[in-house]
Amino acid sequence: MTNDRVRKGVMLGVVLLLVALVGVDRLGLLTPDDDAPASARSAFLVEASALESDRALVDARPAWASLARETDEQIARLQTIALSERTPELAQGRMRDMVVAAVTQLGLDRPRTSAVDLTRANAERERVQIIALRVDLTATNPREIFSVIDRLENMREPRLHVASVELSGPGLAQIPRQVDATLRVEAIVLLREQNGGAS
Amino acid sequence: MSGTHLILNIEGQNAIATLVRTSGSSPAAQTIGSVTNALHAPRSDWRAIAEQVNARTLVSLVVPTEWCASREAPIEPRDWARSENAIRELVDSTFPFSSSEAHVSLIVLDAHTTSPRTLIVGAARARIEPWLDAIPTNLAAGAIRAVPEAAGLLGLGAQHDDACVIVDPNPAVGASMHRFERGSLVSVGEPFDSDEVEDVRALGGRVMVLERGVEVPIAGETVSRVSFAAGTAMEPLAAPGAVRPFVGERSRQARPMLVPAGMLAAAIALVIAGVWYESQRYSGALERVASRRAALADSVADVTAERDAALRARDTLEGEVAPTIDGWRPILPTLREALDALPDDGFAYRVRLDARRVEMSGEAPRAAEVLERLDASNAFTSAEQTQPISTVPIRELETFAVRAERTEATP
Repeated sequence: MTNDRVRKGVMLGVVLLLVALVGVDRLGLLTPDDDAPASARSAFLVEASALESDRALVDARPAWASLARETDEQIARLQTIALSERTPELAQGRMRDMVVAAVTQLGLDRPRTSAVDLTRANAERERVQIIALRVDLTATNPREIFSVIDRLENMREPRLHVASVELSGPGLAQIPRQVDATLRVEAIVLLREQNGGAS
Repeated sequence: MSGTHLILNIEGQNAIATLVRTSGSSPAAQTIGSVTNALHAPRSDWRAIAEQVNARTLVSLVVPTEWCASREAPIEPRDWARSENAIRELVDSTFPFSSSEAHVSLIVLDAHTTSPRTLIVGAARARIEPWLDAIPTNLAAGAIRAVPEAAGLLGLGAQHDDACVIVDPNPAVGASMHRFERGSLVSVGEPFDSDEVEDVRALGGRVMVLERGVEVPIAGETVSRVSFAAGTAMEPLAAPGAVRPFVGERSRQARPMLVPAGMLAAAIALVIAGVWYESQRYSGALERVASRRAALADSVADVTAERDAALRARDTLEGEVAPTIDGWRPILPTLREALDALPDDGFAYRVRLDARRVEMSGEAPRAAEVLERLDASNAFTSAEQTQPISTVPIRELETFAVRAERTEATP
């Protein structure tokens, strides 16, 4: 083989190598793996994607503001039926006072009350919460219990709801002519901010 | 490659100067003067030539063939430096002058094969050196070299032909011929044989005839003196490294692998540079994107807080508060209706009513009647006994324990 042929062979080899390198490069095999954390490309893609997400979030600000206004309006409409207090505990206390007043005004003995744990709505940071109170009271006949329920259910500002009733006696009560009742009473609470303004 | 090359041919005692300007691979040659009895001529006789020469001009003194003796030897060009002793011995044993009295030039034969040979050409120093002395005396030349006439064969372009024969009707030494095969000079100074020339022509080969001012009994492309001088100037370009002159540097030998190696290196460098450049681009872009994100960070935090608060409020309102309030219906009418299911002479031990169902236990003259009344009520449905019915003999009543679903119960 002459030197000329050898040279042509080598040059052809170089061209083929170049073609192979270009092909490999086009297939992305020369660039680092996308999953490699040290790769500038993957880091850029992650950051660029995060930037796009940030921009989309900022661009959507009017929509979130609109949703916030809508929820504020819905909450404002609840003010006529809800207890407005700074904390759930204060609201619970006020609700207890209302229930006790309703019962005692009907000539019944002062009832025993206890707060009932509720679900997620009672998370501290929720502006609107549902609170519940268990009320144990005693009457001489069911009609007195009916009166209490009627009075509680007809309160309007704030509105109370009797969620359940349990009556015992007088059929086989240990004490003759005694009806024991356990009510579960619920109310909506609007938590005010610490400065006193309605939230 | 471009430059000016002065070819100084010796004819008897005269010098004939041809100026060759090379630009790329195309020479422009022109005879610019001659000097009669050149070795003894005054400088004024050289003036016409000297005016065309400057310090960048390469001067090639062409040593006439009739001054030279030659012999082929199986020495490869790469071994020239190592074979000095062998060449000297060969000159001493076969040339009509000793190696110490001679300048020796080497020409590659069969250059494009795997076993190239060498044509050793010798010429007496005593004949060449006066000319070499005359050149710097009369010309402000740059480099000076002395080459055998045969060197000019390599610049005639015969490398592109499959076969080529160059007929040289040199009256001083007799007609001879030089042959190229497949681009390589394979023989120099063979005795002229018109049949062989015709054979080459018949096989499609090229025939050239050097102009020597004598009749040649064969047809062919005439190579004028000027063209041959141009060939001498082109020899270092057309066949680099193929000639080691009597005097002067050998032209740089071609490095056939240089271009492929360069291409390979360039390709690898290109790929590496490409990867590096891409990485740099991404790094720069990453910095820009990171700075833009940093600029947005406060806004993002504000909007995120706003969004989270709005979503939380909506979830609470729609997921809990609204369904709760929607389910707030007065319980008292339903309680009354449940108790109405008791007959007048029956009574309840216990009644429990919530948003979904009522559960009631007690005594009645006929327990099934309680169940029937509950089932008939608009407020309840799916009434069922939850315990077996038993009798209370002392009161002649039956015990009951029933359960019914509220018809308006929320799911």
